[in-house]
Amino acid sequence: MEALFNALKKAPSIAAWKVNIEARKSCELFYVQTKVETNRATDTIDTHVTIYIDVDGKRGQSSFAVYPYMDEAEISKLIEENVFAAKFTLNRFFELPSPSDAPIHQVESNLSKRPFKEIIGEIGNAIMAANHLENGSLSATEIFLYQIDTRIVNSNGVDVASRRYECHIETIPNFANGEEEVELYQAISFGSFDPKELTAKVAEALTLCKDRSAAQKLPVAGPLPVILEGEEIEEFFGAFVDDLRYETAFSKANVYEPGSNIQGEAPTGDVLNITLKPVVEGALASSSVDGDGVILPEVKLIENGVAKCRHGSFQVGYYLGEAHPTGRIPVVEVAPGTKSLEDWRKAPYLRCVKFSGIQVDLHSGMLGGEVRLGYYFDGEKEIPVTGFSIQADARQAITCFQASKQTMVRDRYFGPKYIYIPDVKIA
Amino acid sequence: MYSQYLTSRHDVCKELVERLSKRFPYVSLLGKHVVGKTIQVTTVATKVTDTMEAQCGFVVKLYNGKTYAEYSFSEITPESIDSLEKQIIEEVSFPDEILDNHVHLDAIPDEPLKQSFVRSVEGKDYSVEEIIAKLGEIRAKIQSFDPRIVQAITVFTSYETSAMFLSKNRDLTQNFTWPSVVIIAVARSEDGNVQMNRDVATYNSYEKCFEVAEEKIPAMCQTAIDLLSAEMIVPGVYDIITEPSITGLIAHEAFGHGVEMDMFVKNRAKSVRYLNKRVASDLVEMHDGAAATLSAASYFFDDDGVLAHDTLIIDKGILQTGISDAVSAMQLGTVPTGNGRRESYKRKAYTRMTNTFFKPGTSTPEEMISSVKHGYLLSQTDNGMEDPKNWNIQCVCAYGREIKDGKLTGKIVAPVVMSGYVPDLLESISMVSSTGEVIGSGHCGKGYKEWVPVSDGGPYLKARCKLS
Repeated sequence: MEALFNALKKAPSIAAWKVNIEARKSCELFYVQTKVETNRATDTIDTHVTIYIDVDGKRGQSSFAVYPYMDEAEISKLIEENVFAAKFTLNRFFELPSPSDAPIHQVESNLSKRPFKEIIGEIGNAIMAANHLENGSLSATEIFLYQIDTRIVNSNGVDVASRRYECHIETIPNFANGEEEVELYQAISFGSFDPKELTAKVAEALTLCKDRSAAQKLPVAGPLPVILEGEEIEEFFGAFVDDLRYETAFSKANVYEPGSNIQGEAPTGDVLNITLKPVVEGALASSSVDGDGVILPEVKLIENGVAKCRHGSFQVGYYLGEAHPTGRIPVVEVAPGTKSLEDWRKAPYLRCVKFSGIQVDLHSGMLGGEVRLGYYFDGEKEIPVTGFSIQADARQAITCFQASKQTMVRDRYFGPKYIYIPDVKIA
Repeated sequence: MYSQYLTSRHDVCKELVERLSKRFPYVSLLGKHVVGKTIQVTTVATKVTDTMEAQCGFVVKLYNGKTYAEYSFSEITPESIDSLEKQIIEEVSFPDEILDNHVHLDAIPDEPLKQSFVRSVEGKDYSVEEIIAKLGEIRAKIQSFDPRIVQAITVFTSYETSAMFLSKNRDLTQNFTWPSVVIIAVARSEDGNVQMNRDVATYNSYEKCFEVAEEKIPAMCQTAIDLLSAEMIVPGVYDIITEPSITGLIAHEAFGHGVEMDMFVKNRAKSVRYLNKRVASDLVEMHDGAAATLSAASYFFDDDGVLAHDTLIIDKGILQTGISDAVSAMQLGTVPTGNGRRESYKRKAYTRMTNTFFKPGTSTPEEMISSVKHGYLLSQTDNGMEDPKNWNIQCVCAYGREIKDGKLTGKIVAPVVMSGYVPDLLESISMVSSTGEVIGSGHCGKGYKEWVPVSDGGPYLKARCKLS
């Protein structure tokens, strides 16, 4: 790194610079069914540099990668090439973030306590411990354990470093029902390892797969009230969060403005409150600093259904004239509601558990997709169902959804575990 | 030009392979150096960054008698080879209680081959200044198309891949470049409705990318305006005509993922039970391969050092074979098809699609549209998700145009989700156009990760499908 910082300091034509360094060590296991096929380890480093030039009150920029083999002369040559490119990118001036005395949250993790090779075996064992469902199996499992060191340095004096640990798992539960077999993709991630919790999650995934194998065609035509859960809820609320990004407004693709009453004058469901938070316990993406080195604040984004502000990248916020751009805040917190699944179990509903990939588009309003596993509640019991799609208008659904009081935490989300949307079309 | 850096590391990498080969029955090393720029010109700003494909590093793959083991690293020098060799041996040595529970494997065949491959971009080269000027011209044309277009975005991407594959018996290098130009219009109506449309030009020529992007401006912009009045489709089963982008989406998402043969090894593919059986109508011929056409996923050898193929997957509706990486082929006792690909030197190689497409037929798009009583002409891939074990479809089209009594009515619906059962869709194909296009601007994930550049496409297809 010394060669890089020397070259940056000596470059006469640059007005400012930013360096992002990520050093990553990993330990990885790949299972075919319950046996190991491949084991991997990595030790890699990525360094990304952005240089800025100022011409007639405007600021141009260009970004490039620097690799370990490069010496100071080579890096200086790259800087000059990028200074040349930056001359053709003169945009509005913006200032880089400045240093802050605010404390940096360092995430505690039990993954740091012992060698990865020891822990990864235990993670594999915890997954396989769930693999005891009759006619059920795991077709494949991949485990990735990471130690990630990041450092952000800029010419204004920002120099922030942090270390975090992550485990990402992809496992494929399979269930045989006679000749026919079905599977359900399952991704699990965590920053601290709890063997019992992991075994329980895999066991639950196997049970869902069993239900998919027994799933019938939906016995009614709809429209029906639909209950969403898991990542689909994150996607649904995430569309409104994304719409209020500086970047969306800057590209003039936003549907809502600060002050917009997103839920309309007379919402018939729960009131929407969304707060963006840098750190939420259990949310893997938690970080008190973003990639520009901005120490991130907590921001009330939507209050009582009304958009309060925008959020996003420091640079684009500056372009939009924001006095204090928020930076990219990683976790979305949605206020829970007052209902439970029991409360909704008074009339038929359709609980959609696994989608191929839910579509949420505020431009068209599209909220829907093909459902791989759902449960139809017929007034007495839940029946596993499959082979249908749902279709609603997201802009309408936000005015009438009900949220559960039960909450869940995901990588970038904390909030209701279930939401209930009335009157959804079924195909 | 082939990476000078990789050239400078060739001998020390060869030395590392030879040293490790004394200890392990199979050893290979892949070095990758990808350089390139993404240049974006919008109504409000211009930006130059490295492409997402940019990378420089190495991965060693070895067979230890139990499992395949890999180690990825960022640098090797004659001075560091001793410590690196020790590091690799240590890092790939996992505890016996883990590795003893291994699948049955063997060493990958290592046929001798020494060869260098180069593919150059045709026609004129462009400086950064010229590219930005060209993108600015195109952006201005988009912007001036209609006052309702409030944002015009043009993106140029070009990346040059250099790769070196070394094993005891193989010494391969390759160098090639792939450019693309994306054009985007954001339209906003007076009542605040916002819609976006995009198109792409990807060819092995900067000039042609710019020329075709310019040609596509009017239709792309008009569709963005049309989308302002788009409605949601009434869910149901319809006759459909797919434009090449959606034909490619079907080839790739609905069927292609299911014939990736690492899925056969994992018992994750329904298609294994359909080999040599009918999966589509007589009219369907489907190919995949880095050598099958010239597009975004055309290379000379894959990340396992296997030469590129043109694999005939479906012939006259009958499933012929799948595609494979080297380790999967070894486990299945088949010949690898040159489909072993890594997102980068940091990631594992999997069986991945390359250029995946249906072959043309004999109809014209006009004949196909005129044959539809009530249905939709589906356009512009939005996204798709594979389901190889269950063969469920989810393909999302950016929009569809209504056809009634053989004519386009002018009504537009957006977006449109195609769903159903893959063989039902493929067997319903009743017309295939004589013209088409393979589009090479996309990236494909395996599950939700491992992104690699791919192309897909083909002719217009007439079929029947559930839309919502």
